Amino acid sequence: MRNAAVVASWELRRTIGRKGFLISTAALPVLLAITVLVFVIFGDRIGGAVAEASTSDSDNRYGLIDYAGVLAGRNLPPDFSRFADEATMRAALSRGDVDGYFVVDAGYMASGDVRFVADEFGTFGEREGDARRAIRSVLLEALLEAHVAPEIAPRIQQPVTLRAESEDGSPPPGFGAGMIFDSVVPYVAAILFMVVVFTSAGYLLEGVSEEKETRVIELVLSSVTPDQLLLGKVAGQALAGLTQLLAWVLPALALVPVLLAQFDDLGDLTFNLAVLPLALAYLLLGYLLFAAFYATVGSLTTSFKESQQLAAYLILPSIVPFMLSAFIQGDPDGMLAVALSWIPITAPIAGLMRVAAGSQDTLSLAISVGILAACVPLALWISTRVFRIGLLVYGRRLRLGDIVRAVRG
Amino acid sequence: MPALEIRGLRKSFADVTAVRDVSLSVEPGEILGLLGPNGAGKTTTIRSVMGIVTPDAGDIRIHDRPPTIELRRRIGYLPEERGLHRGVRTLDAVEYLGRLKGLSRAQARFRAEAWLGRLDLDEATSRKTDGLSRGMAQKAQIAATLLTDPDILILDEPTQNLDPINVKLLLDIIRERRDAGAAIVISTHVMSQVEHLADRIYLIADGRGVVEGRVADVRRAYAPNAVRFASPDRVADLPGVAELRDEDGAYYAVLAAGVAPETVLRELVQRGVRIDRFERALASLDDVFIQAVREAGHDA
Repeated sequence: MRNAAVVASWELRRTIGRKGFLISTAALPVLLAITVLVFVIFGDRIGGAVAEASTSDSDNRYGLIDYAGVLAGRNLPPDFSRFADEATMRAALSRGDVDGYFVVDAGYMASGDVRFVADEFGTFGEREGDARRAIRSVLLEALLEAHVAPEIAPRIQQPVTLRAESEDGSPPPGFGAGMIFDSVVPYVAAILFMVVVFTSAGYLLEGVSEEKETRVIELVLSSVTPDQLLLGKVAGQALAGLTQLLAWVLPALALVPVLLAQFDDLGDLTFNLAVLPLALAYLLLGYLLFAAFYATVGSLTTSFKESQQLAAYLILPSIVPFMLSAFIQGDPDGMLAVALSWIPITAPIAGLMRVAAGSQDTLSLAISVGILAACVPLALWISTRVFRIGLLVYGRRLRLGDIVRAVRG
Repeated sequence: MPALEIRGLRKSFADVTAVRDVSLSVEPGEILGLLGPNGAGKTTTIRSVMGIVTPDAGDIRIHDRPPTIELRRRIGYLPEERGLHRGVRTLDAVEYLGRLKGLSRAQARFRAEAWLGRLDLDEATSRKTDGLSRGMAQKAQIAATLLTDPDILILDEPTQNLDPINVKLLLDIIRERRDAGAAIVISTHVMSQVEHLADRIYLIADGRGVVEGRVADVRRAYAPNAVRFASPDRVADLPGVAELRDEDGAYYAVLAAGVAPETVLRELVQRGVRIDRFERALASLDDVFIQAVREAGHDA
């Protein structure tokens, strides 16, 4: 174990000392910090400009019932029409006389509740955005002009907590900025996880190829067994990957809340931490699987360049789930998503994407992890067998017969 | 008790037999020249000792014990196929190889600095390995080999890439290690070095040991029927001498079949030729190598 630990320590120090690693590790937190900084400093101006632009450009027509009396006696903008009751307004919506309508709740002054009803919300919920800006502008103006008391000052700053629903009363699909955090953020997280996996396994590939290419491998193998060497390399690169992940996650934990605070309607946003163990299982097993593949490739080939070319054949099938992401997102428990999460080479990404898309099929996810967990020791075992003979074959690739003999022992 | 002993070693790769029958031993304080043409099986023999390949048959013993990774880590090994990790400081690269040999980080660093200094690489310690010349890289690898003060050294072509000054430096170090009691195996094609350095040789041809013995004994055994003598006088037409040639101020006389050196010496004395030196000619190791390999039918 000491030998493997020495190798692991060496691999870790070498990897985290690489310029490429340092740049890629620092880039994400820096980018996030800049984003937060921009929103904190210029957030109001950005929001104001957007709202102004949206209000002037919008040609939506809205119905309005004001049960709170906040807008009583006021002239409304031309795109607003008052209605006597909601039934009449709903009929107007059905006829297409209005694109949506607002119901200002009787307790609005205390709650800020305004209900917005529309027949459609646009592909990205853009009608909701228009509506929110429109009613916000109207209400804010009214409240300010009324010289309201200080206790309702917060309402002036945030006059609308909009609840949207379809005509049948159900929540609209993909409604609101929360949609971003429901699907986009987990999707991005899945990508980042896989970046870590491929980066770490890639460094392992580079290390094996380089030791073979520079012939230092024979010196190394005179002191450690191939199994210890492989174990050390896999562990060292796993630690480097973990370091990178922590370098991304820890600043994100500090900075994302600051960023969220810049958005009005994300205050009650929560993350589903229950999926974290599953995501970590896919991350670890995915790394071990590709580490085994890459170590095999590195020992089979004669140069790093050649090993990269061969590794590309492994990467291509593994990213098929990304190509089919629309289907997995749309139906995370569908046959295609489940099948991809059961095939070992596509399982790490497909599994993460299913988790990110909110899969409820715990059994099939458990089977997916189980298959992956069973394949990882097998892949590592084959890898060590090929690794042993492949490392010392210079100047030519191993033939299939060599590989079969190596695996048979 | 031999520090290293190999008996009946055999190793095949698929349909190629690399080593058929190799048996050799090295005592503490002894240098063995491991010789043989390309593809004879020297490297496979060495790799078998180092556990890098697993022999099909035969027995290897290190200090009279079956080899383990711990025993092998006591061997200073300089392989023919060698290099250093790229993109790291030379000192770090050598230190890492020392750590793999079981040294602590502090020990490995201290000894790496000492050996790199001994090999005139002080200035290169903080330089990246990519920036080293081939000779400097070779010396850094030698430093890594010597880091643990090993009691067995196996050096495969240790002087390649080195200039004469560094060759002398390395040969001096090898002699030092021998005098300190280390058992040393040197595999090389530079026969002149083996002649001057090795106590014994073991010549492999076609996977088999074909010549083994003390250097002087082997040179004598393969010696032609010839004498070498030095004289300030001009000498010609010696009876019993088939060929007489002047070599670097001395005469080299190939004797006719059945003629003894004493006959030639008597003739010279009778003629009143002044003789500074007279000796039976020994075979050079080059001659031994060529003759032994030819006799073994090795297709070099």
